[in-house]
Amino acid sequence: MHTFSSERGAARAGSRASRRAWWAGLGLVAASLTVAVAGQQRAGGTPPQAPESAFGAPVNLYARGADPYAPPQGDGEIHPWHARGRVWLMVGGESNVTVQVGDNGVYVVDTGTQAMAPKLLAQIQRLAREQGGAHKAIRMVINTNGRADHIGGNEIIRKAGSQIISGEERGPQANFGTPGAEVFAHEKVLERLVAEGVNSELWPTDLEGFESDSRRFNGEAVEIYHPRSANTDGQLIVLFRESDVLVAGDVVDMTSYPLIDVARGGTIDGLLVALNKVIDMAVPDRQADGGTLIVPGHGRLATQTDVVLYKNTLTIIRNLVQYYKNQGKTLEEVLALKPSEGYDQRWGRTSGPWTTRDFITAVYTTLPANGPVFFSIAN
Amino acid sequence: MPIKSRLLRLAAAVISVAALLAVQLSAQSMITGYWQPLGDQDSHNYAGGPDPGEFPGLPITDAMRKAASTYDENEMMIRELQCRPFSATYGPRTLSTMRLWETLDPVTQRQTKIEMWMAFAAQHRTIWMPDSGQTPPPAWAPHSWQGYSTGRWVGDELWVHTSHLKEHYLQRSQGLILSDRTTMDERMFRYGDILVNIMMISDPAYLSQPFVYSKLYVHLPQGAMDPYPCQAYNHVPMPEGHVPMRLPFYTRVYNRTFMSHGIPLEAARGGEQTMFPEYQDYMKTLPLNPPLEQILEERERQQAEQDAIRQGTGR
Repeated sequence: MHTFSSERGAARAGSRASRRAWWAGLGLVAASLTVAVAGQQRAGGTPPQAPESAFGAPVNLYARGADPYAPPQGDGEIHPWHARGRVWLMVGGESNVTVQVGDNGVYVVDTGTQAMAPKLLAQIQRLAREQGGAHKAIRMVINTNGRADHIGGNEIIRKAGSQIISGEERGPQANFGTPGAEVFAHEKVLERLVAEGVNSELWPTDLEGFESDSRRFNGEAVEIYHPRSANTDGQLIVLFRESDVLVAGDVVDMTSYPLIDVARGGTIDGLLVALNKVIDMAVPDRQADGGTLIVPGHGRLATQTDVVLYKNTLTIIRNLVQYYKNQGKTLEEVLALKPSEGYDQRWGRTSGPWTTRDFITAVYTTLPANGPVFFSIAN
Repeated sequence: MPIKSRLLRLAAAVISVAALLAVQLSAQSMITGYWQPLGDQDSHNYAGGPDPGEFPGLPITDAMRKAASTYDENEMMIRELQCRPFSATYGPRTLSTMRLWETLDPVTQRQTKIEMWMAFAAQHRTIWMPDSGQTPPPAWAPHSWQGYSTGRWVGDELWVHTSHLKEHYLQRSQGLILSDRTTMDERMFRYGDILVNIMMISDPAYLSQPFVYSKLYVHLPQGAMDPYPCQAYNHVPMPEGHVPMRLPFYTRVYNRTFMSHGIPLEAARGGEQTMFPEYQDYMKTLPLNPPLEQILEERERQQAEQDAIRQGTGR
């Protein structure tokens, strides 16, 4: 009788299966004996513990101390990475820097730390030469907030750039203007930098107190939105509409709980309003995946649902803190109740400049003594 | 030795080597086609889902338990999450029909990728094989529901590693989160018409041990998949920015299944110790459950208290 090849394959598989089943059975008997002996030893009030080698070599990469999502370490260099359209992410610094290149020149969002600025400038100039259009100069810098890791390179990047000025602007610019590229920020940023005595070379050169603004650069609309008091009161969100890349700044931080700089006007409820705005401005692709690329202040790129889940986590923590605060609990009592415990392994830190304790303290401090437990924008 | 004989020997040697190579290549198992999950396997976890707070056998951490205690199933009604499919760590464990197909390099005839499509919510995953020449995404690349999968054949087993996953659920209806640092290793192989997928899910944030799950599928001689256009609707009206959740007092386990079988509620808390058979001996040392009526009354009281706080009449 003719046997079809698929049947022969099935027969071979069956034969292999029987051999495997025999060995598996033997293994199970051995394992059962081991478990029975272990059970005899443990019976009586102690929950069983996982054996050390229960799964052989660990499949968990983190168990070996390797984190594939950790920021690149070691080379101390800036690496341009094409995000989408005309927009590039400059990877390797302490905070994210975004660059748009095209025929009008270079548009830079945030300038990282002062220490990395020379390397950042070199990579921006290389990017402009290799990927830019007719004009290679840095024309515009925008700061999403006034913190040192976002404005540190302002001086070096600004001085390497230039503005196009004509007509009646020439005189005032020559006499009173700052040479180089325009550095744009919310007016609250300058107010605070002046008050704090920060080196004036790092100050923005152009300010507005708007809630939203739109301009066109390199052939695409660049929308700028100012949430009133998010991480700070000078926060900006920038959307490159055609490239479909949204720079959220520190409103989104994929490495930790967001930094809420209470001394610079930051509040938890303002931050949640800003996060909801980011979610509104982003458009997902099918199945709630992909779509608008969101550049956080720190960490990996995100898309809309990442920010939704991040916002959900922060809202839950905020609601718990408000619930406790309404009961008259002090900050120390709330900290002891660990309202963020369910999320600390992913978002919390126990050391460094922004710990979980700092975050909960900022949330507690900026909530009212007796307010609505459940956050909503209408509050 | 005559030349003719030497040539014959050489030809025989070449054929033998070719045959050996063919055996090596045929060690790859044919896993393409339509596959139906065997629905009697743990199905209550993936259909309606078990009760909230039913975590036995899951190697979850205290953090996971704490996060789950605030979970409210209306979270799924948040507009932006309504079209969320299952992730690669969850979809293959459910009751969806699965289609697998391969793409071969037209010159070498070697696999460059294997694609997986789950019927529910059109979950589409690509497993990149070594011959694809695909560069893995960097650490700063965005994550997706299906993540980034690479595969290779080890004998007749397909070994797959997946990273770059979005935050999703270990068990959705119970609010058990898997973070975006989750990775998954799989072993897929065939026994005749049965496809086995062993999933080993690791998450440094929420699992103290890898969660290991084996799923069986039976081969379907033919099949078809419906498209899945998704549109968000306002099923549960809620104020803008509102996130459904439960407050801290709402953490009592009121598990009807455990109560009706007299299984100690402590066991429902799960944790790695509940994965092992000897936990049954330990359970005998645990205190008895309170009466079901008492638990249900407590549940109603908690619900009323939370509703009052939501409406601003409680604190």
